[in-house]
Amino acid sequence: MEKLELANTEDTPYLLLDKGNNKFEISGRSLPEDAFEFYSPIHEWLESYVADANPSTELVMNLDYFNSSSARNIVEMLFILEKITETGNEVKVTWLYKEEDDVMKSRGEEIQSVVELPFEIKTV
Amino acid sequence: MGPNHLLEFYRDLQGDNLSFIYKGQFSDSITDKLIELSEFNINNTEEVRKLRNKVSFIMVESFQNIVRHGGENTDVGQRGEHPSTFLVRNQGNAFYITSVNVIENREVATLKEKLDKVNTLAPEDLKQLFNQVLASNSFTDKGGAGLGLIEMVRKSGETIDYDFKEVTPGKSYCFMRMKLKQVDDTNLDFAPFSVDKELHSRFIDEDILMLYKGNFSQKSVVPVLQMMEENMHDMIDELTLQKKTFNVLVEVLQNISKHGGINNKGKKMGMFIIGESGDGFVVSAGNLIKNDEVASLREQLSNLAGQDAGGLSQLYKKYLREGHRSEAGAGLGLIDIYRDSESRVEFDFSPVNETQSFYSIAITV
Repeated sequence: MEKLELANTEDTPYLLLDKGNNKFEISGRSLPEDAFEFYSPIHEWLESYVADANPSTELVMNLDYFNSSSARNIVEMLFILEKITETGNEVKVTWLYKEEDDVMKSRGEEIQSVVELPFEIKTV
Repeated sequence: MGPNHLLEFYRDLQGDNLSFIYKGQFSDSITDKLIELSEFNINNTEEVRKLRNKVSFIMVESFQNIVRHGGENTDVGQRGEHPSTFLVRNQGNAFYITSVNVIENREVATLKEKLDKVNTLAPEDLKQLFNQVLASNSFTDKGGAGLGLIEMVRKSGETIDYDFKEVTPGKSYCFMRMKLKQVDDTNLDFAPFSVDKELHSRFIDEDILMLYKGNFSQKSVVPVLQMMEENMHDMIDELTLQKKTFNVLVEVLQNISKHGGINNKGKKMGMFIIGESGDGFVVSAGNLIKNDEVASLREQLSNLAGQDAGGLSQLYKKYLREGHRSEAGAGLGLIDIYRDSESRVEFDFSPVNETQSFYSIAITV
């Protein structure tokens, strides 16, 4: 499966979905005006991936900021990953935030509460 | 500062296709963002598209004039008592670029002399003076200001309006306004200089940092955000307040860009103001909406206003779980605004005509 890597821009995050090297990361800031357009190919990639996932998957989320338009789409990434738990393979999310960044910490906690995945929140 | 405050500015600037007023840091990266913002608006305005390069050139010169002369005393810097200010306005076929910075009273006479000289010279004489100054470097003792003045008059083909006003013993505001017009509009009368000076004094009196009235799209939202972000890094120590303010800015600006109504010139015209208030900020924004959308938006806002922090958090999570991916922005954005401001939100709907109203919202962070 070909990896999906997107360089960050002034309003979109860095993204790496790499099955071969078992690396999955989203980082930086996400404030596109049309988040649906930006995240759709990411959701599609993940949908194909969960059908044949690695034995153990860790998605590292190191977001500095996301707008409301991105929020629902970021959660959708995790809803897709939840499907891995049904196959017996392992999947977890690591949410990173800067120590003094209470906003991103509580954002992480909210997302944690709406998904059913092992979800670790820790400082960078 | 509330929705009415924004509405007042909106009415006063009714004739403007673009109004941008800024008080804050003056740096090269801010200049770049400003050019981006203004070029986006110019490219979308048929009447003045040909002026683009000249406007950008004059803005850079004028901005750099502030960079060089505005911040020499620490107490007249961006957050000092007498900060430098920059105004760009487009009305019909005319463009106005105004800089206001504080200088020492003893500099006034020399500067006035230079301005009078460049304002009265014929084009050939200006060219000659330019070459002469370039060769001798005598017109100024401070990094190019003299050349800048000559160039601004040559590029614009218009005189520079100027004024000095003592602001504190020993120091004066220096107002300079550059004008540009489409060459084929020979009948154009420029708006009086006093209008821009009044705008400046309102800006100072009301503690405003930035006002933008213009075309809204991600292409204008991003430079506005970047300019504010660069300022906020220095103005706010606490990261949480920085982040909340930034988020409110993103949500209100993108809301106009996504949902704002189209005016009679086919543009998504909206307005945005950020000002200081106590330890925080007031962000206000306004745009046209269809009259038949007013009732449901009013209901949505009133509903959010009735929620406490826990209720807002529940609503937020509900949207995250159940919202549609493609349209989740609108509802979540408003919840975000209420949460970030601890529900210090005021809103207003003013009828504009039979089909549209002006929706304004003011948020205290």
